[in-house]
Amino acid sequence: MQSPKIIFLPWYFKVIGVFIALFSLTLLILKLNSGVSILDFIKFDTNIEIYAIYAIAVLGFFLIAFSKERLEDELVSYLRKISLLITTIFHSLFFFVFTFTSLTIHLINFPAIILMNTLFFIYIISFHIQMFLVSIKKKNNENFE
Amino acid sequence: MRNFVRDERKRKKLKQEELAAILRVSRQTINAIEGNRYWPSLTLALRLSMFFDMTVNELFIFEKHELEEFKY
Repeated sequence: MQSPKIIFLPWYFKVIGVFIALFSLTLLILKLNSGVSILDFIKFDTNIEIYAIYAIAVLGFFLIAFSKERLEDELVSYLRKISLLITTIFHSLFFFVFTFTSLTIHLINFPAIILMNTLFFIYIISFHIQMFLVSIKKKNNENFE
Repeated sequence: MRNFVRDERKRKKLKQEELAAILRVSRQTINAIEGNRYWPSLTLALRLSMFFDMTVNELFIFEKHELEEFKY
């Protein structure tokens, strides 16, 4: 069985992603120091919501994460899998720690709960669909033998 | 598991970069395989053994304890 081919963006999207991430970081700094006179100079809209800035950063990180390396080989695919696993484990740990510690102060982050639920739900569905597809292929092969 | 990729590469007087370019993989991949930090896919193992004109069994071998563990 061949490993599934995942389509990644061309490598130069990583550069675009870095610029977007740096742009959002700049916005964040400007937003947090909104009294600074440089804002008047560049006439930037400082009323932008901090969530919008984080969303722009997410776009940048998405482009960085899902762009190809210049030479995308099997070691890179392997490292991507490991990184994804580490990310999921750490994200889950952070989620559980912060959610259950914030229960007492009534600061439950509902978007994060929905995100974590959909993350694991999609993982479970995807895993079982692939298991099912593999078993179908195996049965077909057995018919030829 | 260990392998003789480094020995064979040196026997052919190739640099890691050159072997990587021939096999169309990154230098890091060759370095990781040689350092036993990454086990290549069956495809790459076959390509390596074809390039060095050896069998996969000759290029990649089990350690002694693994041989005992996987003895059938």
